[in-house]
Formats: sequence, structure tokens, C-alpha cells
Amino acid sequence: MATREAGKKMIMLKSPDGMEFEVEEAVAMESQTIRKMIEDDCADTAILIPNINSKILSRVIEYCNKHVPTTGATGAAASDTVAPAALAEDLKIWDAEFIKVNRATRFNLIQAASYLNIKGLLDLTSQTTIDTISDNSLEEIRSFLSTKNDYLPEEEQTIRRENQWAFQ
Amino acid sequence: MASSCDSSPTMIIIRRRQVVSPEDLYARQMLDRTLQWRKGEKNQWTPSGPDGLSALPDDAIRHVIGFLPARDAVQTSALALGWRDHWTSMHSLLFTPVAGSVTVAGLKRLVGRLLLDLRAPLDECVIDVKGFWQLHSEFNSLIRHAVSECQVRTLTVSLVDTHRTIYGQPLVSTHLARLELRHVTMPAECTVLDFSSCTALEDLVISCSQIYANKLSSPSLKRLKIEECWLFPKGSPTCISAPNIVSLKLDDIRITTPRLERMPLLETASVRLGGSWPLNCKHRVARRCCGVCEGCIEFHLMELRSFSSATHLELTAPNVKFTVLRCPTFSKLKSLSLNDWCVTDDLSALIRILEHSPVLEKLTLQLNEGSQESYNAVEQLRTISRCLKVVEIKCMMVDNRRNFEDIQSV
Repeated sequence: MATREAGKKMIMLKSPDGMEFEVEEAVAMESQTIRKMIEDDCADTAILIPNINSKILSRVIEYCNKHVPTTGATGAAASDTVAPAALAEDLKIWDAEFIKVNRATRFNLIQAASYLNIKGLLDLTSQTTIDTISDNSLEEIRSFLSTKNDYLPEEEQTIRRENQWAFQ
Repeated sequence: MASSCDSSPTMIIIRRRQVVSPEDLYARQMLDRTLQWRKGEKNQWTPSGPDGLSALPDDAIRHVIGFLPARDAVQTSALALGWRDHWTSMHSLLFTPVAGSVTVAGLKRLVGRLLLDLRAPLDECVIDVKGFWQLHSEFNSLIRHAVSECQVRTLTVSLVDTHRTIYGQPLVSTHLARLELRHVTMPAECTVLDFSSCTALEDLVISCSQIYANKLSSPSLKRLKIEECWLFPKGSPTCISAPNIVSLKLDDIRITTPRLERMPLLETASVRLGGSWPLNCKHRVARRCCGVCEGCIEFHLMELRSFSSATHLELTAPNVKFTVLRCPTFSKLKSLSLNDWCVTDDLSALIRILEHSPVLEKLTLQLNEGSQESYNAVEQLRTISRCLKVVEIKCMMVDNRRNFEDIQSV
């Protein structure tokens, strides 16, 4: 429900397992998907976020809370006193801590960031995934991504030949 | 290669033609790498259920793949049937080969595949090459492919230890919003710096590059940064035409000085000119520009007229590089930072600027040790500029920097 609390507009987000999260509109609008809903006036009642359970949604909100640009009465003063470079460095450290999660959670976060269209979170989760799998063989990557090799033998031969230059 | 993605029978025929080496090599390497992994941390990853990346929506997968270097991204096609074409729709392209890590032939084939199969719109493309002198036409093709076919929005090009040259006709794109060029050479005949067909271009950064071209133009550009660049124009000085520019930063511009066309929307400009080479000077005293001959006036002096709408302005140069012969009125100028050039010989240049800056509030002078006698003259600045609240004089000593802050409330 869109309500007013201490001058800030609040938005209710609902996960499919029934949990409700009340967040500031500015925080929710870190998600381009939700921003569009709000701008199109589709956000009068609680917004149901499909496919994202409460555990993941709470983490996504935690991320947005941290990354929302500091504006407004108290925020403006804060951003004036702290140098932007220091602020960015602080966020980077926070991000590194934030993304220390298991593989399943990370994939869920990618899915949530993709659906909610939160570029920063999508980039963070993608980059972390890529860092984990780079310098590994295809077998290892398949294993990590839980992907089954469903190529027919001759198809696989072809694909391998197409890619053999990469190992020259 | 064209047929390789269409149907497998064609491909099998090709395979029979070259039975032995490449595949075996590949298989052996794969086996070695897999074995190494098995010997090492065995149970680090366990293949399991539906939580894998493959279960994600295609769009998310294509975003993730975009973070892989191009070579690895193309290779994901070998993971599984469903992954075969993901890379052709990835959201970003990271083309960052370093000499030694891949052969020239291998890289050529990679570029071939990218040009052939990569068609989907790209958010970002980074072409950051180190080495590979032989492949500069391939790199140029890739740059143009990213702009024209893939409608890239943010493009970064850095060509270190390569031929460096970017050539050809102007880029055409309604999507390109940010372009960064590093370690490139733009020859005199090249019209790549004509961005009149890049209608969405707002940010342009050129650094560590050599510019022989005579003109840089963009009607849409908002922010321009040129740093550590050498300007070698022929016939006439390098002209920068960007009527909608808001922020301009020229840092360490060497050899010659560019000529700036009108910038009526300019808010902030920082121009730090570097050393010049007396290419067009008729006198060449001690390998320096004389500063008074026609050649010097045209190629090595910068007129202040273009900065007249700025609110914040910094103009510094090692020797005299700015001319105040026709001083414009800086009607919005609030803060101004200058160095020795404005107090050389006498204070007339500085006084002239202050007389034409009715709302100036802060003046910063970065002076060398030798110009210290000018401090005494600062007193008289008060009488010229009525709004002036702060005069900051930074004295650059040989070993250390001493700040004299003189706050004067008027």
C-alpha cells in the first residue's frame, strides 16, 4: 500500500510466500521494473513480486537501500560532506561483503535482478559468477552451472572444432 | 564458417577433410584441464538440480555471458544445446586480447566469428587490445561492426602496441551515447572525428592519442574530455565544433592548441595546455614558439572568446598560450583559476579578464616561485572586481607547495 510516513512515500512489496516489505519509494525505484509500475500508476496496492521468495527479496531490498542515491533533507548533507570517491570505495567494500553468498542464492539474485531490472545488482552478481568460472574447463563450468551436456556426440565434435582456435 | 552454424551434416564433411590435429589438440587439452581439476579440489562444485544458471531466463544468461572475455563467451556455445546461441545475443562484448595469450590466427578467427554471428544490440563494448600489429584492419572492422550492426551504446577502444590507426568514414549510429578512444591515432585524411551522424553521442573521451585530423565535430555532444593528446594538424589548427557542450576538459594537450568554436551552453571548462612544439613558428627561439609570429598566433594561442558562457573556468599553460587581445565578457563566471601566463610581464592580461568578469567570486592563481612579486599587486584586484570574495594564490615551490590563502571580504 502506498502510504506516507515521515514525509517519505512508502511502497509495499509482497513476495509469493506471503511476506510483505514496506520500503521507501526511492528505494523501490532502484528497480526499473517497479519504477515503471509506479510511473504508470500501477502501484496503488501492494506490488506482488512473482518468483522471488522473501529471503531473496529481503536481500534485494538490502542492496537497493544501500545503493539509493542519498538525497533529501538528511541525505543531501551527507553526500556533501563525504567525497564521492570515498563513497564509491565504501560501496565497493559493501558489495564485496554482500555477494559472499552460496551459488544458489547468487543465481536467485541474478534472476531477481534481471526481473526487477536493477542494473547494479545484475552487474555485481554476473561479474562475481564470471570471476568464479573463468580459467576453468568447459566440464567444470558445466558442473558449476548445473548444465547437462545434451549435445549429440557428432554435434559436440562440430562445436569443439568450431572452437578449437581458442586453444591454439 | 558461414555454413558451420546452419546444419551439422555440412560440418561433418569439413571435419573429415581435416581429420587429425586441431580436434585432437582440443580434446587433449580439455582432458588435461579436466584431470587437473579432478586431482585438485574435488568436491568444490557438485552438479545438481534446477538451481543452475541454465534455469535463469535467457535475458539474464545473456547478461552474465557479456562479462566473459569474447573468446570464453563464444565458447559457452559448447556447454550444451541450449547454450549454443546465447553468446550471439549477449548484452556486452569484452574484446581484450593480450599478445601471447592467443595466436594471431586464433584471434583472426575469433574476430571472424564475432563479425559473422554477433548481431544483437550491445549495451557496452570494450575493445582493449595489447599487441597484434598485423590485425589492425580486423580491429577497425570490429569497431564499425559494434557501432553499425550491434548498435552499441557505450564503446571503449584502446589499441596499445598495435597499428593504432582508426580510419574510414564517419561512424553512423543513433544509439552510441558514450565513446572513449585511448591509444589511437587519427590520421589527417580520417573523418572518424566527424560525429554528425552519431545523433545520440553525449560523452566523448579521447586520451593518450595522436590527432592529425583537422576537425572534431558533434552537434549532440554534452561532455568532452581530451587528455594527454598530441595535436598535429596540417594547414589549419584542430577545430573543435560542439555547440551543445556543457562540460569541457582539455588536459595536457601538446604540440599545437585547438581552436574552439562557439559553445553557448558551456558551464564548466578546464583547459590545461601542455608543451608545444614550434611546428609553425617562424623564429623557433630555443625550440620554443616565439608566440608573436603568425604561425604561433594561429597554432599555439587560444582565444578566450569560446569560454564566455562558462561559470567555472580553469586556464593553465606552461608558457603564454591564451590571448586576451579580444577579451569577451564572462557574464556568468563565478570561479576562475589561472597560472603564470596571466601575470607574465605585467598584470594587464589578468586585469583585462577581471574587468570583463562582473560576477566573479573566486579567483585562484597558481604561480611559480619566480612570480612572487605579483603577490603585492593582488591588492589592486579588489578595486577591479566588485563581487570577488576569495583570492587564493598557490605558490609552486621547487620541492614543496606552499599555499597562501588570502581571504578578502569585500
